[in-house]
Amino acid sequence: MTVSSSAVNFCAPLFYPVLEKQPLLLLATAQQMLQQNGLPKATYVYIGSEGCDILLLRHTALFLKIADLFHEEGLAVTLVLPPVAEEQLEAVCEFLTEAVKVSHFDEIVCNDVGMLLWCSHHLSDCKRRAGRCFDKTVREARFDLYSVPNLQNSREVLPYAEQSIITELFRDCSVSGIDIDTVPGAVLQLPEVGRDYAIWYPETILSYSTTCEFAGSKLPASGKFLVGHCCMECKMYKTTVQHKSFWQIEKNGRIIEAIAPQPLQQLVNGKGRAVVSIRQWSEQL
Amino acid sequence: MKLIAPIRSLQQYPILKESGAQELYGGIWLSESGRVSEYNRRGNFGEQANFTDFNELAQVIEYCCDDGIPFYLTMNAIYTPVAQKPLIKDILKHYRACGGKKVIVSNEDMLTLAREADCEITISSCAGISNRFSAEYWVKAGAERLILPRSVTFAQIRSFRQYLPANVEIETFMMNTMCKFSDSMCRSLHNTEYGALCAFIDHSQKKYVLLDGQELTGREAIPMCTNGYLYQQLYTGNKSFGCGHCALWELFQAGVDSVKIVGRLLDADVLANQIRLTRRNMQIAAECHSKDEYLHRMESVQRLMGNDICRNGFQCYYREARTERHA
Repeated sequence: MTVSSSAVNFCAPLFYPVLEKQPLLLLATAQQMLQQNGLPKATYVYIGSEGCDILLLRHTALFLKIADLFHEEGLAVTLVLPPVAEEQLEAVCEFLTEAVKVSHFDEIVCNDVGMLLWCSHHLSDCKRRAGRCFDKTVREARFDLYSVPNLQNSREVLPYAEQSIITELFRDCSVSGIDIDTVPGAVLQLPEVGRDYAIWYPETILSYSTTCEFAGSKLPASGKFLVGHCCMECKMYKTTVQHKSFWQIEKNGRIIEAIAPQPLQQLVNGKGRAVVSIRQWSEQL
Repeated sequence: MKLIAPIRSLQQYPILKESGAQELYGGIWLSESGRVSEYNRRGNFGEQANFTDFNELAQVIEYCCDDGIPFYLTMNAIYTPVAQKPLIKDILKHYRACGGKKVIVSNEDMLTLAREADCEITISSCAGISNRFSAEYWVKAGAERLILPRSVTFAQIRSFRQYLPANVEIETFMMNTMCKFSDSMCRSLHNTEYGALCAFIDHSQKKYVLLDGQELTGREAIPMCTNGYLYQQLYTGNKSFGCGHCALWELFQAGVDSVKIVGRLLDADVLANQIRLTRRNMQIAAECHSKDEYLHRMESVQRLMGNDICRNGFQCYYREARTERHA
């Protein structure tokens, strides 16, 4: 295993209640778990929401508070943004403007073109990273993608690095780093493109929905699945898909993810940041 | 406002034209391109959803030119592998030689290739334009039309119209396929051999658990399982139909330039019925002075698509329109 640094990822709604009550205990536990699993002590902490702009906006006070707290603990704080819908755009921009003024955010991870452009124009002092949602390469959990014989790109370990979006948009927006998913079964050789890569582990995004299966669970049909009508059920529940899949599939609110069964050590061979969610170890919490 | 419909063969052309399609779009599939690594989101359906011969496509484009019907070629994969670029260049070259000019794309690489081939650019819903800054990005890259995602709301459309240059056209969805996931974010293979991820999940048993993996109590399980059951029904099988008819008046008012009937796999007769109905409702919307008047006068989709299509609003592309209608 050769990662140059670790980050602990608290973006999943599972962590929000603990972040509200006992953030430092959670951090200490996470650090301990990283070390127990052979990873360097985290120097970054990821907070925010990768999947839902509504969820992000309902927790802005929490993110501001814990950013300062983690900063005081000597950690660099990375704020993760979801793809932002037009309705939430102004509120998110307002929050970000305020956040970089009053709190200590070292990086912002953007997950849509619009927010990346906005951040590069309006928050030029804050580092910008491109989130996992920019990577559109084929992901599978139902079977081993690498065994599909006629998938032309199956041997391009990181084809994303050669896309125009990286060479042009990311350059224009002065993107400092790129976040990517865990790759199944492969030794991930990161390209030498002068950027800082971060590999999220163990979840891989398979898909993302603009509606939410959990939303409006206590409402009549007219209010169901609309994200603006939710009671943040994603902070309480998840769905596991009972199938003999290659990787375990889970639905967490609006994001459909696959959980890598293998340890991170087998995946990374090169310099990069491991962005580790301790969800898989959360039963030990 | 115009109506755009899919076409996949010369045989379909007279039927679609007679029924009132004002714009057409379609893809081409070449056997050497393979069914898995596809470039137009329907490549894996091969001849079931695409033209398979440039001569036939050229004939359709010629008829379109004669009849004043713009034709758009779908090249809207969310990602273009480097290895596929020579094939894409070749397709675009042949398309231009056929007289085609308009291309629907979703990613920067495809856009660059289309611009190199001197094509006019439409950005697909698969680009996932979620906010005005994203929309502006694509316009600066040369887009002349933006196809907004299925999930777009009236408020979003109005906002886009307000911020985008007047000469940039907006297209939105009107009939047929719904999708649980965002087109722009669905990275699983989406084809006949492996099926789509959404269908795979629907056909698998799902279990709701607390985030720490613990079982739900009965009190917690009932609302979640009800949601789960409805969500499983939603957009599945014959309920995968999507409709925006109740929204037509609002879409007119919001400045939408074109509404899309999707379904590259559908037979021409099915499409023709939907096109006729949509054109009739477009005519009514154009004559009405208010939303209420339109909702009162519009022709119901139920006659064509079945009685339960409007039951709970899950089949609505624009759920706010239905809520207002049934309020």
